[in-house]
Amino acid sequence: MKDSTLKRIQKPSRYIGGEIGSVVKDLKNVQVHMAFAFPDLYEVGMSHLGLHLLYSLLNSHEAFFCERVFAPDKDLEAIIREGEEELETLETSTPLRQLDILGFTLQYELSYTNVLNMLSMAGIPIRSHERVEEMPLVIAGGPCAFNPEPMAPFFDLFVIGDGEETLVELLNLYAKSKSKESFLKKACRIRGVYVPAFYEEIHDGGVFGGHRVLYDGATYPVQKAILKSLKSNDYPIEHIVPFMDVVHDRAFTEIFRGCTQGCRFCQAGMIYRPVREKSKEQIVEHALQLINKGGYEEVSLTSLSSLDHSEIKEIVAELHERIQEKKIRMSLPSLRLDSFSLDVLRLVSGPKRSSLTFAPEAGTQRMRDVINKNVEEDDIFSNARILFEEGWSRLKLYFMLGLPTETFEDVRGIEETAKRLRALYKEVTGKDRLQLSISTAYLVPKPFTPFQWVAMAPRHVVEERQKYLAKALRSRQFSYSYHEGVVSNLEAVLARGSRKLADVIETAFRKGASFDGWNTYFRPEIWEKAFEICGVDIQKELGERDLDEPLPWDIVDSGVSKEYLKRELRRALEEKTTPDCRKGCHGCGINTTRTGGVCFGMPDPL
Amino acid sequence: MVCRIRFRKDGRMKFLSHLELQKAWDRALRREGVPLLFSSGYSPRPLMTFALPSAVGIRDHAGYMDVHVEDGFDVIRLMELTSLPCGLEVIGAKTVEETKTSLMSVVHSAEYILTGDIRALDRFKSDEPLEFVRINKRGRRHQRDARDYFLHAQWTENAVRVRLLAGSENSIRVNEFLEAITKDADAHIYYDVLRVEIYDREGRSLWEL
Repeated sequence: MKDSTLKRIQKPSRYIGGEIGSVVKDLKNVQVHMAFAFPDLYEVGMSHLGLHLLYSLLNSHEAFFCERVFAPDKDLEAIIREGEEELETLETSTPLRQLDILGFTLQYELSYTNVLNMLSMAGIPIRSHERVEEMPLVIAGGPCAFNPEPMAPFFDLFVIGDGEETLVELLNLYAKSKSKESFLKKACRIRGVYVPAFYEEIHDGGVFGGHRVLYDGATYPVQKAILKSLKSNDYPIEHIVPFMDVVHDRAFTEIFRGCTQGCRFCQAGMIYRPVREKSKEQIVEHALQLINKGGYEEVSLTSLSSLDHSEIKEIVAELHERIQEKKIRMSLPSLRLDSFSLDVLRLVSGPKRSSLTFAPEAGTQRMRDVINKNVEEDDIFSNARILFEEGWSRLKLYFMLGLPTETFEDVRGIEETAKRLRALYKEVTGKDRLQLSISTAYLVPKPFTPFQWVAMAPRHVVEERQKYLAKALRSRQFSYSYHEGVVSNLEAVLARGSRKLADVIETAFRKGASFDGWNTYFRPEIWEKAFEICGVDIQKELGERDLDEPLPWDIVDSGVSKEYLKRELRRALEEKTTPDCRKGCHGCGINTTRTGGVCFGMPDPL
Repeated sequence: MVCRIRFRKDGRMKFLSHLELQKAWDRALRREGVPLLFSSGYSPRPLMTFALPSAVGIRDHAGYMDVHVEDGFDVIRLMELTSLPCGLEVIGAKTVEETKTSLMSVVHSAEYILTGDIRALDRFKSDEPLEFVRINKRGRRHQRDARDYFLHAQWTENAVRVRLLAGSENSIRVNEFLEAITKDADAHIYYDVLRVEIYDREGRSLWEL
């Protein structure tokens, strides 16, 4: 990129590369040249653990060179569209067209139009069948790949599940392959690889009726790839240290993958099963290496539910001991309001002026039982009391609205929780100075969760509840924020869509949609128009699904059985909880399809 | 003890903002195991002060910072840092006396070399006022004359070397200066700007202090 370009755009440090931990290789010695593409801004993408993991893993192989590319902001996009610059990789300024492979990560549905926008900026036809042999292979992975269908026509293949081993196998195969076609025909036999061109959807009078396999060698369904264990030390530990302030500007080390909580709304909790822990030694060593090599001032122990690691207390204690002197902070995501969390918190905790975040998700015990969020009413208040006694005064609480069976009482429950906490704080400290922020998101029913069949709550109902809360929580002690319904609806439609949605996404993109996850850029009228043009009925897409109807994501086998998901949905509607898998197996099915990892309460069959 | 580092910020690193540059040094010194001293309180920060921030896009060969380290630290080690990002470079390091006056408060002027379309710079040689507009914190626009802010200038074939007032009281940003002499608010895009030295009120470079 020209200096004069960098001088006229906002935050040029997004585009300069050269960070500690970034890799540049001599292309002469490289067999497969690829880029990891994150369809959002640099500061968002660089906060994503998977990028660092796969980047350093692929670059540890001599024959591979993996660069990075992020979505440029609108100012740079305009310069690219004028033909003054190209969309190029960060490390060697290679135009994307010249790569062998361009690999997108699909972390959230609202980044789909950015994928198309990046391809188009790079001069790459967006539909896979329009790309000639010389064009890069365009592939995708990430959680959204579990329902690949809305994006299927745009990618040559998807990697579903853990990418570490699958990608290496794929790149090795690519290096040996003579043509795209011969590569894809072999690739589709690798576990976790889905080649959309080898399947078509059956639509019967507008109703989705399953898939037809077009190539004999392709499997149906496609099993997700599972990394056997995270305990191997073969995986490299380098991370890239950004210059600019990224969203999560700290070292992060993954302490386990998967989750045993079984929250019924949570897709990650289902698709990343089984749980695979790293050992205490490995975690502490990795954290220290990241700190020493990166110079970070904060390290985060990352996972879906970090307090659940079987040695979390020991890990936190030891790491704390070793970083204390260097003035390095430690952070733990996903704290819970239970006594165990508070014990661990005491080991980590520094300043009590910072705020603590908890996610009760629902305002009444009944509602929490429906969604299987294992937090008890009594725990919330008895532990909040302890926090207040210890001097904490700022809390953030996350809730959801639009949950199945939710009534107005449950919304009142959120209000009451807030008011009781305020009163409790006053009682404990004698001052009415609790700072409590409450935020509500919509429940977005996601594939491979027990709620995958339920209808998205009607917008007007949820908006009324938001209004109620906004009014009820109007006070200096509270701040209330909520997600916009129109955005959440779009997310829901894209999450559960079939290939029909591809036309809608393309139409929206052609009409100028991009950065749909950014309030300032989201333009709902474009999407409305796109649905209309493509003849897709939003209300129907948001509606309930029949328990027995074929679903677009049946193409993927996540390892968790439909029977289990149905059972969990039934239990939800009966307001029955299902305990943590660590306390006993509930037969979700992952133990029969998995190739490794430990299911709690089950003897390891391997 | 306090170490004064003189550094270069060049190449792609010239696009770092001042905050990014501070963080880059913070992390670099931590990586290198320099025994930093920290501020006390809420979130401890290394005790580091910079003489004069340089704007995004400006090459700086006169970056100065004072950093507090544990007594007994061998200052030569700062000349041997191996993990700096390409474009950042230590060109001098020495110990200085710990004083109450900050590095920033002694800054009086800074010298720049501006390279670009030199014809546009010709206005500078005439007598006409070199006006530019400065918008103050309240959003009010003020007309200023760049001639009030420069100490001297030297010309070559395609570049001009100017010394501009830079202290906290009465100063001009180099981009304002460029705007004033070219009458083009976007001039900084097309000119190469290099800061070569920073001086105190007596005309001594910060390195000599």
